[in-house]
Amino acid sequence: MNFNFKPIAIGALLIMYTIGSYAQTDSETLPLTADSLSTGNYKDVFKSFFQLAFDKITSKDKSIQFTSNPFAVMTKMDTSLLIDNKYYKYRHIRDLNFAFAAKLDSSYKFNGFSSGIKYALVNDRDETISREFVKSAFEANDENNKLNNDVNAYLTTLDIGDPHRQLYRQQANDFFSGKINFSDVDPDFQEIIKTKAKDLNLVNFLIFLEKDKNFNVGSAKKLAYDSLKTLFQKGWLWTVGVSDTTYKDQFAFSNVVLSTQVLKGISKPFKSVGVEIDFNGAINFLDDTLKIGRDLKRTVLLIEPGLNLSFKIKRTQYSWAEFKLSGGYTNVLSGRYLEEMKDNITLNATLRIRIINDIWIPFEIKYDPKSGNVFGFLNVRANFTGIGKLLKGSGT
Amino acid sequence: MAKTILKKGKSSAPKKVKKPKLLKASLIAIASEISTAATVGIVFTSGLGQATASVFRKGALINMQSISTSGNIVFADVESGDAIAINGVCTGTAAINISVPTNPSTPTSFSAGNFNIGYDVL
Repeated sequence: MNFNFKPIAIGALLIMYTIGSYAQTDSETLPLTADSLSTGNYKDVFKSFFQLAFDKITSKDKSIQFTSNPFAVMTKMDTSLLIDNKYYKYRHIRDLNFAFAAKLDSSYKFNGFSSGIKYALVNDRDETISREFVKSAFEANDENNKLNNDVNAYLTTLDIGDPHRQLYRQQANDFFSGKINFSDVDPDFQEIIKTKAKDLNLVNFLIFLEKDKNFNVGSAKKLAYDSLKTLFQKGWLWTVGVSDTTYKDQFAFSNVVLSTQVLKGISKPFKSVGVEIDFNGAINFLDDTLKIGRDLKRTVLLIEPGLNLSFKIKRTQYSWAEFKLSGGYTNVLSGRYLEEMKDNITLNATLRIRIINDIWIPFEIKYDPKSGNVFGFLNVRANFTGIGKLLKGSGT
Repeated sequence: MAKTILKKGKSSAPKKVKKPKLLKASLIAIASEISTAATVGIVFTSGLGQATASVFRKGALINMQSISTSGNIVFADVESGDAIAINGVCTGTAAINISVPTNPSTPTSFSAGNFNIGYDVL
């Protein structure tokens, strides 16, 4: 899929510059990592690092599941794989997820083992391997690039031993990194920066300075970059996978599932509610428990189209809660029990609340309109990077 | 050599700043007795990136090179008082290492996003 990022990048930059609240105080509340801008639903479909999941905590069939991808494990043994050329070379390995889970009964006793693999046939959401994204992000920062060059050119007109040069050097780097606001810069140097900006005709930069003397260029840069990243998260994701479950007393499959899932963002940029299509399909091969012996002759088809709504802080595009609404259609293709309906329709809803950046609590509700039954499942999804931050005391 | 807009050793900040003039001679870097080669190493990890490094001397641009993968940029002629400006973006992390003494000193690292920094060659 081809993204035309140029107009988006320019649009993102313009919006960021006209919002008008990039004070230093904001930077303290915006330590968002680019990865934290992904939706929780996306992270449940496809994992880039590690995820630990506690599923159906309140149900009699609980599970603890660990999911990762081979590349994440490989980099634990050889960190040089993270260097860009190797990182790009092994991008297809990063499209593979594997999972292991221990099933637990209501007494938290072992009740079977499950495993699975999932491969992303299409993954247009990984900006870390996109040249187009890199180019767009660089172009979106064009004004700061030009200004930094001109400020550096100016500094070389001062003697290397001049105290002003040392002061301005420190302040220039602090200003461009966002450590200090424009108002914290030495007044004489402020004038020099303004003059350079006028000479270069940096329209957005000057508009912003006019609006806010406390302009923090670091925060503005981060907001523009994160906005581009959020736009990228609307891309296609199509996965296919197979998973299985074993019996608790025998290493034989009690269940094999072939599944596929498609995600695609459809909402317009910079809205406070993001919308993405979520289509899930699966064929489940099960043991017919009414028959003697263990086989997989009962086959059930599941189709679940839905929409995932992510509620975002408009200015930062950081989602704090998500609500997924879907319809479930189940059809017993073979091995139907007596008096069992051939097909069934349910209404499903999942509410995800973000606790911190990488820890989500999804609460699933299933409603069967025919029987009137309602089922609820409480889960916890924790990405290992989130736990790492929490342990370091920076889990914001 | 480009005209300077301030006299060397001037103790107070200039009241009015003129745009430095880029002269034909400024575009030719001539190695002198005090000039040396400087290698700017940039390593991108956990994602792609790109960067442009420029060398300025007495208000004029004398060299500029870009990279879009991890590697070294070699400036054959830098001398004390020059500035190396680096503008770039990384989707994971970026680390910059310069082979000659600079202020600020290197290595310097950046997290995902755009970065703009400058170094004085000491």
